[in-house]
Amino acid sequence: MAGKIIADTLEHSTAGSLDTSYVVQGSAKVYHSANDAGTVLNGSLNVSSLTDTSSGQQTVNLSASTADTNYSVIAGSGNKDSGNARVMLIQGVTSSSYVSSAYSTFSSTFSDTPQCSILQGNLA
Amino acid sequence: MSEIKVDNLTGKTSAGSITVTSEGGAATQSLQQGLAKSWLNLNGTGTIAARDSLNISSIVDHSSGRYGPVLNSAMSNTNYSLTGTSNLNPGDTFSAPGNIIIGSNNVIATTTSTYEASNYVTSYVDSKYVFTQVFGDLA
Repeated sequence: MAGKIIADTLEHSTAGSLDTSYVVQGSAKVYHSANDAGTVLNGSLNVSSLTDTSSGQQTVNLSASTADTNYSVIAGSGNKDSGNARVMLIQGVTSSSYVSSAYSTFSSTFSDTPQCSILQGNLA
Repeated sequence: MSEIKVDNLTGKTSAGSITVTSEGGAATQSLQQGLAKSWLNLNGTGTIAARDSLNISSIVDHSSGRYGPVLNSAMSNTNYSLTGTSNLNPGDTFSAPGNIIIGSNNVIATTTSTYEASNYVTSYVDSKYVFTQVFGDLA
């Protein structure tokens, strides 16, 4: 792959500098945004496919695997059914996939809703 | 493929700002502000412990289900963004994971160096998996 860098300068400095560990470890490794049925991936990074596991549960399959399963995933749900509250959970964590799940506190079941998630951690 | 090996990145015009061009080429954004400044995967049961983290020096066990991650490098102010989610693994009881509540007493960020993340179901309950992420400006 050809590389191209356009920059004025790269400096090593102790004043006002940003340790490059933040660039590596602070960059999101995965994000996904999907419809309520878990069948349409609206936007994503490092996602090979999305599986509609069951009602309210979407399996996010990664293109590049993580180094381990100790990563951090946050998730949010969209508005559906008059905004009934949903608790977002991350389940079935592996180095190549995780399950984003929306639990309705109104119906006490996992329930379809648009979902998004962001993964921070280390790639393999 | 080109590769740059460097320990620190510093802006030329402004030391704390490096501008990157958007994927579509129509916008620019600060590299620093788009990076997570901290993230955490916490075992919040028993003797609590981070499984992995970025910029976390220690975690205070305030009380059942209430945790106080302490940042290694502090934020520049208390206006940073906090988010959190629970995990539920096969075999876990559903009673444990709940809403991860960020902050306390109507305040999101407690100080520039620590915050509170709580797992709440119908009361504060320890959770085996607590995920949090922090975006904002480092001091």
